[in-house]
Amino acid sequence: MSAFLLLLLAPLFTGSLKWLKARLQNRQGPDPLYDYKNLLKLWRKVWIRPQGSSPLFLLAPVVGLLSTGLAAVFLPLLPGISFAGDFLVLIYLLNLGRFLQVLAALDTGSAFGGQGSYRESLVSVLAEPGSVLALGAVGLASGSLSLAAFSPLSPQNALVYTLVLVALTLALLAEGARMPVDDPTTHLELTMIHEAQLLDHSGPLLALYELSAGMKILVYIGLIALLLPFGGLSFPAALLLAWLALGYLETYGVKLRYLRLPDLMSYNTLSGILAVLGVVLRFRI
Amino acid sequence: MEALKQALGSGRLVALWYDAPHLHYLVEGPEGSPLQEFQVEARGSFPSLAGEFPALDWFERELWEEHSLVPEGHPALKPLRNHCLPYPFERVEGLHEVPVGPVHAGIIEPGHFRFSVLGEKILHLELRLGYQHRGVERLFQGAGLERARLLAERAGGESVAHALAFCQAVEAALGLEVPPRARQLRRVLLELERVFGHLGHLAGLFTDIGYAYAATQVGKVRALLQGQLERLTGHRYGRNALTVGGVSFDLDPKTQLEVRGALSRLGLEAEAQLLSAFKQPMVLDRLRYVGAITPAQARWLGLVGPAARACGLGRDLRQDDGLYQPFTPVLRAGGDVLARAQVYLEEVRQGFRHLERFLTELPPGGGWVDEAGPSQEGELRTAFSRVEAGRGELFYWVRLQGRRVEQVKIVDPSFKNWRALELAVRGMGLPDFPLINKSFDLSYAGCDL
Repeated sequence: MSAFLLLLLAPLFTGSLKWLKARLQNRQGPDPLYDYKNLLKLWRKVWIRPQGSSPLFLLAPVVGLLSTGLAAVFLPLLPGISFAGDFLVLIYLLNLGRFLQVLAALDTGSAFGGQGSYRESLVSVLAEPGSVLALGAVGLASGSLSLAAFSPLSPQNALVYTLVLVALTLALLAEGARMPVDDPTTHLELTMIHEAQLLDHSGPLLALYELSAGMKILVYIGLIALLLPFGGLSFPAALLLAWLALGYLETYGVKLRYLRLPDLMSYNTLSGILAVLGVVLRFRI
Repeated sequence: MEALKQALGSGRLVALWYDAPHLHYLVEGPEGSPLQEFQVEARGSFPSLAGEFPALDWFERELWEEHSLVPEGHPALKPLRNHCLPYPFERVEGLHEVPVGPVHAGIIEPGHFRFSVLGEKILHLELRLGYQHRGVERLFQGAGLERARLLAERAGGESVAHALAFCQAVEAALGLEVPPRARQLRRVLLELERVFGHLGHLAGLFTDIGYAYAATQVGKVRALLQGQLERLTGHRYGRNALTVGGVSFDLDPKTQLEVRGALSRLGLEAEAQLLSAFKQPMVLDRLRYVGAITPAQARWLGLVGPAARACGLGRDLRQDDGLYQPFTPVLRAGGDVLARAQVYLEEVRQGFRHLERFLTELPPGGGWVDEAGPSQEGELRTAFSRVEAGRGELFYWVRLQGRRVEQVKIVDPSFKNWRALELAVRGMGLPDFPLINKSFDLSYAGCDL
């Protein structure tokens, strides 16, 4: 259920984010529903496969969407069907999609595909320890690795959860390829991270990639929502907060210099480590 | 030849052109000394000076291509704009090469960049341009003055500056005296073009660092400025506003007052937006120490315009223009992206001040001379002119027969500044290249002609 919800919501989220950013910049901006139309348009187009590429080129977008969708299934956001998987499965499902995406970009043989691949791998290496440690800390605090059993924010675990939220927010920015890590609106090949991998994909393949990129952001927002103490309203609240924060950040923020990225992501890892320490040493306050 | 070498050693090459059978070297001496012109006879070949003075490299390759004159002893003779000939790139053994362009992911002009990188660090860059070569100089041959002016407006990125340089060269050749009102109106257009051009460079810099808010606000002021230019001339880039002998538009006092008011409001808005943007620590962090050029390198390559002024080299042709007095060129030390951005910022403010003054006290009189001029069969006349365009010194040389253009030589500021990019990116990260490129914001078309 939650997978379909996220699938339907993802274009609305990214599309309305474009609208919000335009409004904050005093521009008219696109229709908030633009991304639905864009996906439809891409879906109807033909796609081109670079010479010498292997079936991986076609496989990556499909597996990317499926694995992100499967990850969404594990999120206990709605009462209904969700599997009682542990959070590691979710993290690795997200990484499976990226792994194939990296391979497919290398497979095209273009200079930018390769460049995007190694940069994205670096970003993921930097972002992964933080999110795993942070979720691990929550698991330790709740006594279960299952996402469904995660206990929400409460006065007893406020400090640890603050650190966890910091780590997850940074991971959201890095994994979702948003500012200040990556500029989703740039047309400059040499500065691209995520977009550089998609340059050779067109039509329906690009649509799949865009859809799974949007879903991935929502999965991270869903993870954050699990930790918020508002019950059924947690996910809408987290969505709204993330929407406003991303819109603000991408309008008034400045993209980080690429070589400074490890500095930012070290806060992510550090928050994760401190959160685990906090739980282990029973600093519950 | 010795005198030429001496002059080049202490000065700077303005232009090198071939008026058969002589090569003309126009050299500007150090601060305040007059221009020197050297003539060297050349038939089939001429001695190359590019090894000693790298600023001559592209000029000599251009002569080789356009006039089949072989520069003897040229250190690396290869085509400049001709893509039919093989082009050997300089290779650095053991480094990874990244080819970028000529087709880019965005809608920009075509150019090829060959990087030699170690990881993310650029150790070497070689430019290959010429994709926009249209043979503009050849199209001038035999054209009437009206058609030639149209061509000049389309030669490079800056229509007004090109038209002005061409008109001034023709007027000098024909001995026409432009009325004071027209001279001042021309300066109004030139400053408008400079200011909206600079705002475009700054908006581009903000876009490249992902600072969307400032980019949109600065871009808005730029568009509104072009609206004022349209109000004055009927064209958003000021085309067809200049003619040989004057200007083809005039202002009534009411329009003059309204445009002045609109410009001063836009000036305040641009200043407020830019000053607050340049206070942001993240903006400064992205721009500072990136893409630095030393004064020695700038002198070595013969840089002009804001790129040279950001290295502390005080060259601005407006210093010698009576209408601008008193004038102090904007200078910055450092030579990095931030220094260039600050030069743009200061020149925007300076430009608005000049516009205000030009539009306040506009001399009365006509806007053009109804010149008789020499007849169709008139004798040969040559002349050159220089204009400080937004990107730097723009040079036009014309040879007229009567009222027809026989030959023309254009040196766009971009032609002299492109190579600075090759040096500026050394040691920088690959993701910083677009930012460094944007800080020069050179014209491909003006360089390729």
